[in-house]
Order: sequence, then C-alpha cells, then structure tokens
Amino acid sequence: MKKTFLTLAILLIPALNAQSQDPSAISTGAELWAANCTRCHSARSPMERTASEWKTIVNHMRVRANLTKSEAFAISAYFDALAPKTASLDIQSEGRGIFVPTHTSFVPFIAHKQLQFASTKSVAEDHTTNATNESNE
Amino acid sequence: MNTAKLRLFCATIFGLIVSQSSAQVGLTPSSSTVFAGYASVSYEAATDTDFKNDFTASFSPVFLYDLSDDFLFESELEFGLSGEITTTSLEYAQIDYLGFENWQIIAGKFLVPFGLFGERTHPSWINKLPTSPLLYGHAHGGVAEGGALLPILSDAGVMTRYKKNLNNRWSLDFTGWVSQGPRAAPGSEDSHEEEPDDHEEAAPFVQTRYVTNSSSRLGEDDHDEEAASEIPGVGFGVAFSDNNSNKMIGARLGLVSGPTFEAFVSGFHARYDDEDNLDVVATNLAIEYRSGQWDFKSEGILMWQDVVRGDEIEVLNRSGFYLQLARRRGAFEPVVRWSQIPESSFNGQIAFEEKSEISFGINYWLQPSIPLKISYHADFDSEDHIYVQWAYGF
Repeated sequence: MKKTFLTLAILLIPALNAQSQDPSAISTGAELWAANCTRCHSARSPMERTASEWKTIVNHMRVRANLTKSEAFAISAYFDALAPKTASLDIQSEGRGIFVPTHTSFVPFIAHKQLQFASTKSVAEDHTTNATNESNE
Repeated sequence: MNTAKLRLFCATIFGLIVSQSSAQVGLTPSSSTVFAGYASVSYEAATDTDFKNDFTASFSPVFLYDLSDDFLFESELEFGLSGEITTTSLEYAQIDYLGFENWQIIAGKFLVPFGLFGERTHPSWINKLPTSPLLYGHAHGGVAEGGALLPILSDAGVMTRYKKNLNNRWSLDFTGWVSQGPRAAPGSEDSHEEEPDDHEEAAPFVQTRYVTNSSSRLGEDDHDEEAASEIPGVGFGVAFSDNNSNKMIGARLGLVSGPTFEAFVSGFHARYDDEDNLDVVATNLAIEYRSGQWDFKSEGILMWQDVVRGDEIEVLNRSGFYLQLARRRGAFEPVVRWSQIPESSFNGQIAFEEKSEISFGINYWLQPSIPLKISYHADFDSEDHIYVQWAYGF
C-alpha cells in the first residue's frame, strides 16, 4: 500500500509541473511581457501569432532582451493562454490584418492590463467551470 | 531486486523523465520555424537648391528555427533599394544556447551589443524616426557612412549574456563578446588588400581620409600624398575571415529597472590593421527612461583610433551623442531628436567637421507594429531633409 502511494506520488509530479495552467504564472508572464517587451517597442497582440509561434519568438526575444529562462517561460505561458493554438482567420482579423486603430492598440500598457485581467479571469473561470463540472459529475 | 522493488524503480525513473519532459514542454510545443521581420518604404526630399528626392525600400526577413527548447537558430537578411544600388546583407546568423537559467551562449554572426540603438532600436518599425542618429551610419556592418562614428555593428564570434535579478524591480544585465573585429579599408596603407576600382562598389568601406599640413582641410581626392596623414577607414563585420590575429573584445553592463529605466555602459577594443599594431577603442553610455507615455533615449560614444603619422602612432579622438524624446498621444507620437558629432582634429588639422542635426517627427500608429512616420531633419551644416516612411513589423 505504501509503495502504491509512493508510485502514485511520483507519477503526479508531471501534473505539478504543468505551470502553463497556473493563473499566477500567466499573470507573472503578463507583467514580464509588459515590463520587458515595451522597453523597446509597442506591445504586440498575442492574437497575431499562434501559441507555438510565440514560443519560438519568445526564445528569440529572450536573447535580445536578456531574459532568464524562467522569465521566458512565464511570458510563453502568458502567450500560450491567450494566443490561438492553430493558425486561422482570427489571426488575420484580430491580429495584424485590419488597419482599424483601436484605443487598446495604441496604449500598450493599458492593453496589457486588460489582457492580464482577461487572461487571469478566463483561466480562473475555466478552473471554476471545470471544478463545478467535476463536482456535478 | 524483487519484482515490487523493480516496479517502484521503473515508476520512479518514468516519473522523473516525464516530469522533466513536461517541465520543458508544459506549454504548446514551439513552432520549429517562424518567419518574421520588418519592412519599410521611405520617401526622402532634400531642401537645397538642387532639389532631390528619392524613394527607398528595405525588406528584412527574420528566420527562426527552434532546434529544441534550448537551441535556437536565427538569422536576418536585409534587402535594400537605394537609388541605383540594391544592397543585401546578412545582419545576423547565430545559434543560441538557452539551457541555463541566467546565462545564454550565442555563436555566429550577431548584432554587437555596443550601446542600445544598434542592437535593439534600429529596425524601422521600432526606430521612432526614419533615420538613425548621426552616431550610426545606415549600413549594417562596414564603415560608418557620411562621417558617422560607427555603422550598426554586426560581427562574427561568440557572445555570452547574463542576467541577475537584484530584487523585484532592479536587474543587472551583462554581455561579453569576442569577435573578428574591424579591419582597415582596402587600399589604405594599413591594409594589404587592393582597393576595388569602383569606389561605389567598394562599399561598405568608405574612402580613406587624408589630413594635410597645408591650409586646406581634409580631402579625400585632392590631397598631397607626401604631406598627408592617412586616416584609414575602419570596417566592421565585413568578412567572415579576419585580417589579423587580434580579436575584438567587448562588454556591456547595464542596470535595468522594470520598463522604466535602463543605463548601459559598453566598450570594445580591437586592432584593425594587418600587422596588429593599430588600436581602435570605443565606449558607449546609453540611458533610457520611460514614464507613462513619455519615452526618452540617449547615447554617447567616445572613440579612439590609432593612426600612423610618419614613424609614430598618434590617436584620433572622436565622440558624439544623441538625445531623443517622444510622447504617445493616442495614435499619434511626436518625436524630437538632437544628434551631434563634435569636430575632431588630427595633426593640428580638422579631420572630421562638426555635424549636428535636430529632427522633428510625428508618427501615426496604424497598429502596434505599423507606424507611418513624417519627419523634418534640420542639418546646420548642409541641406535639410524631409522623410516620409511607412514601416511594418511582422
């Protein structure tokens, strides 16, 4: 019995490592994104690229902005939470295809705050929904 | 080992392996290749009597290839169109090792982190004005154009970076590099390379300057060779082969406070002639400050170049700085920049005349990566220029 618990505990380690689902990691990523990316340029919308593309781009920017590995991971987690998982027309329409200025596009920090709030809220809501569904089941 | 122990051992190994794997790929897997970059189209008009205007264009694709979570290969090409000349250059082609928490190791051809403008701010969709400050020529690598102190430095070698977070707000940023270093322009006394027939084709080297002892100021073509002191052009990152055994050694140290404040000191030393005798040393202080919608950038450079005069080696001192202030107001962003390179003398004569420029611009941001820029550049020593530039970061 003791060995079974030990085995289960070991097998649960991967779940503990799934930081990308952690709202605090996403929130930290949003703050790091705003603090580092806007040092040089306007903040780009997470909707411009797919999550997998952002991960590569964050590695590229890690060198340029001299970020630590955990900082780059947190920023990737932020993009992972907000960016589409696959390329679609949404990227064109919501990302860079339409030349209609919006207020949030021009005020990166406000946009970041809104996205940060939205991401934290949506992740929290997802967790709440999942927990509710699981308890109902 | 009995069966139960074997199962426990296997489960432990499996758990640890999966644990490590998920730590690496806890997110959506990275895309193995990404195409990014920037492009711009510019219109330039000079306000002198011989009115001249030009359209120019550039396209700079960036290719990113994720070899694994810890290895990234990245390169940027630049295609430019300027007058009758089409330019192509390899701005960087580097492999990055990102496996350490605080350290990074980069090898290949990279943007030299001397100051901040060349490494970070020069892409057209990031630069708030259509031109570079007077400190930097427009070319990537080669010799600084038009009396500028340096080109956008790009060189082949090895670089390491380190970041230490001091607390929640402040961090220390260090970069050190060793690279091929500069070389004397072909055709100069300090270079064994022959000067190409066509000076235009000789770019990215500019013509060697001569300072004479006569009353005339420096000349490039009308010099008296016997009386003249030659100031060779110094080319950076122009070839993957080195002209001497010396390497450029440089470092940059910075103190960063969140998105608000950055102060970086950088410097390098190299020898540029074929015989390893002539030094070129440069230092840079870059300070940036952002508050709300305000954005302030500044850089100053001091440079020393050894020059042979008769049997002796003398030093040519050059310096320059720029200050830039921008403020975002909705989609609009007014910008003002002051650039200055003081006069520098050599052997009692003026080697480079003073250059100063004040630039006023206004940007309209169509999207966070698409500015439309209009600017007026008042040059106190020659004609003024008007620029219109549409840049696109993608």
